[in-house]
Amino acid sequence: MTAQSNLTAGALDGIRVLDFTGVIAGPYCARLMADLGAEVVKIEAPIGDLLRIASPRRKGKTPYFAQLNAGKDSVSIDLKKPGAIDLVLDLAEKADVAIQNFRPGVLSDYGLGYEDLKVRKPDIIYCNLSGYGQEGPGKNHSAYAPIVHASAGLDLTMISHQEGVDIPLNGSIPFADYLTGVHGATAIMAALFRRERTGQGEEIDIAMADVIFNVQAFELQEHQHPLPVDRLIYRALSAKDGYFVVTPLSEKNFKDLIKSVGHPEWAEEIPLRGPDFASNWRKLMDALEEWAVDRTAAECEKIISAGGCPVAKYQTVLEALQSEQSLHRGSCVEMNDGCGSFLVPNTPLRMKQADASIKSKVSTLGQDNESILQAWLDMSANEIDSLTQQGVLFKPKPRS
Amino acid sequence: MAKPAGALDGIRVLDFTGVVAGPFGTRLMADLGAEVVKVEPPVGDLLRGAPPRHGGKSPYFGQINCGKKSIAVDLKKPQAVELILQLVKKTDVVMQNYRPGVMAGFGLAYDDLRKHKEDIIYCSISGYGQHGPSSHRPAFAPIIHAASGYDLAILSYQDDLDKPLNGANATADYLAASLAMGAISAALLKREKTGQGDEIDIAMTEVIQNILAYEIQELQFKAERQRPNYGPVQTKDGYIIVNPISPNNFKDLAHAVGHPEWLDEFPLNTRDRLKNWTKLMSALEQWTLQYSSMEAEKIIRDGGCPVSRYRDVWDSMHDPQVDAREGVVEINDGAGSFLIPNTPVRLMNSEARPKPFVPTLGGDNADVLQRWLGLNQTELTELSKSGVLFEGKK
Repeated sequence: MTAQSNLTAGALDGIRVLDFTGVIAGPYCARLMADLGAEVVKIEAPIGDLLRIASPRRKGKTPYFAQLNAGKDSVSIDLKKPGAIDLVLDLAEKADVAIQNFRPGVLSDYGLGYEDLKVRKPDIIYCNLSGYGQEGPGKNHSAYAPIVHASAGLDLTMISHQEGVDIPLNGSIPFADYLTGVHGATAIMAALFRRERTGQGEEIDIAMADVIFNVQAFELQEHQHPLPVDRLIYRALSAKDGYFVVTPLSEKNFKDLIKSVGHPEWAEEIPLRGPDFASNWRKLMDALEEWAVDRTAAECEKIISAGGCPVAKYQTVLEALQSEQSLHRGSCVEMNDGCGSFLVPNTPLRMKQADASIKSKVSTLGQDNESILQAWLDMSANEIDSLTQQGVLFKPKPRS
Repeated sequence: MAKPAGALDGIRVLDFTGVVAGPFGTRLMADLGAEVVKVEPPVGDLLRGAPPRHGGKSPYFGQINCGKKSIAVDLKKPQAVELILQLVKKTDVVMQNYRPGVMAGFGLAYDDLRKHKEDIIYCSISGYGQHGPSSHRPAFAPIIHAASGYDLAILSYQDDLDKPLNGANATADYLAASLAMGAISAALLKREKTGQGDEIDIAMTEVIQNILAYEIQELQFKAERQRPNYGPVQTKDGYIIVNPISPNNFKDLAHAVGHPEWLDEFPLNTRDRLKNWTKLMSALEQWTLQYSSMEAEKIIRDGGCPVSRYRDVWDSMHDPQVDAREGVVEINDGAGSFLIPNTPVRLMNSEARPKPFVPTLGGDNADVLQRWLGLNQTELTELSKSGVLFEGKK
């Protein structure tokens, strides 16, 4: 392993990002860039990102917001005040990337669309994130992640793999938000590479619906090419105290599995090949559940894992984050937002020769008004005071 | 406007991946113009044989491998490894998702490749990461969903279930894929500026932990859950979902369904938000039961509140909005044509779309080895005879 001290810079070092986003998709997109060393300035309305007041909260702050916005600076600007748009355009001139997830058209109406920013900064990379895309008859349909999960097929895909569940599940993990944020970051990074080679900027249009279509490759093709046999069901198997899952997908996995549980005869009795594959898979799962009756899920995992077949016991995300493997990899990082410390996952983008890690700073609303305007625009303290008095800049009074 | 080139035009990728996570990542790169050469063992990517199938081919494989080339090489032969090292000199990126240690066993680890191509960008995707006590564990997406907390998080939002759901959609794979492509692009940018390569290590467990931001914090700060369960509301013929999350959404909803009195009866901006949310959804269901899903969706949507009926992915792609975005494209794998979603990364000034062809196993042996290495026909025939190269049926 490369020593940490060699990690002088991140891959996105020197890249400046104006982050006009709120809630999850946009903030996670911009945070991934901060993880790789970009300077990310979150431009927030005086009311602040809605997530700042989300639960779980202690002393008025939420670690949920912190995890999604770590490493960013915050500048709070009231876009409705005269002079505010000019100020943002001045900042855009000094930026490389802008990211926004307002409803399509909203930021253009402020005079802050791609075409507006391009006038001031011709090679800007401007990334739009939305539910259904920037153009088209459905662009204005408002969309939270659960809405997109229902409309783009994901919820019905989920229940199609269940047995005895015919009502859509509650879709509360905002999967579409995270995945859209990831695709936004991916596209921005590719566009930055292209800009480096060609000098050209880019406008990016990521739609949550498109992203969700793309993660249902199997289901989409199944619709066009119906299966003659049952699908494989990956089922939670009951152990004495919990559940585990096994996926003997290859011939070798299957052999390893039956050997580890002491039932080599299953190779003849319930072979996982030929036309009986799906029904034998089901029988195998039943047999494993019988085998597991007197064992804990942890024991089952240990025995099967030692044999080499893919297996896992079901655990919570906090248990997973505190596992030996996570601790070894530095997956689990402690942060402090001024209201106490808490654990967050480290960045999922790990590089060996460049710094890639979640940063520990969590800015309060408008905390970096002065430092950013000084560093980017050479503004004096007087000018900043005056903008604050006019209400263009905002900073809440410290809590007493 | 003309789109002269993709953002990754001129970038070469040697792709040692199989199944979903790796292949979808390199497909995104192909969408953006990279030349992706899939290096397959003689048996081919496992997904080539996966259902559903038509004419002996899998369109599931086709969707996540279109636009690539394929060479089939038996890496157990030393001569094959030599050949790969020659190709490495001509490539920019290597991506692999074998179990940690397997590539090193072939002599194709990052440190091996660096000797032949100093600024190589080498990306590994695995279940648990390249090092550490669990790194050797094999993992498919359902395993990672159980191990990383995803399945129990989903379960925690359900009303009447106490057993984890069947692992189904390969969430962890798709997320890891896009992150890998992003990291590779960032590393390419850095290489362009500094001349340095990099090694990237994506662990699917971490990918999932990162999308459970709320759940991680809730487990640390035990509080009464403040987040409503966003679930189905029954109609005359099915279900819809309604999300009156902001005060405006709530007003729009109450007016759309002709019940402005709900604003006072179930105020959502109070300490009783959760309780009132539940009551609101029950009241709403009394209303929706009088309508079909289509009708209810239209009335609520016209009022401005976020709503959708539940559609399967096939129905959802037959939609005026999808048509307007050219959200569906047709590709052909030789066994026939079929539809896939257009690329999820849309760049307006450069080419970004799936290429309409699917490689056959080893179908590009000659093309790639001639263009990259200048091998002639006799040399190619020799390599095929000695079992280094392999070509499947067209």
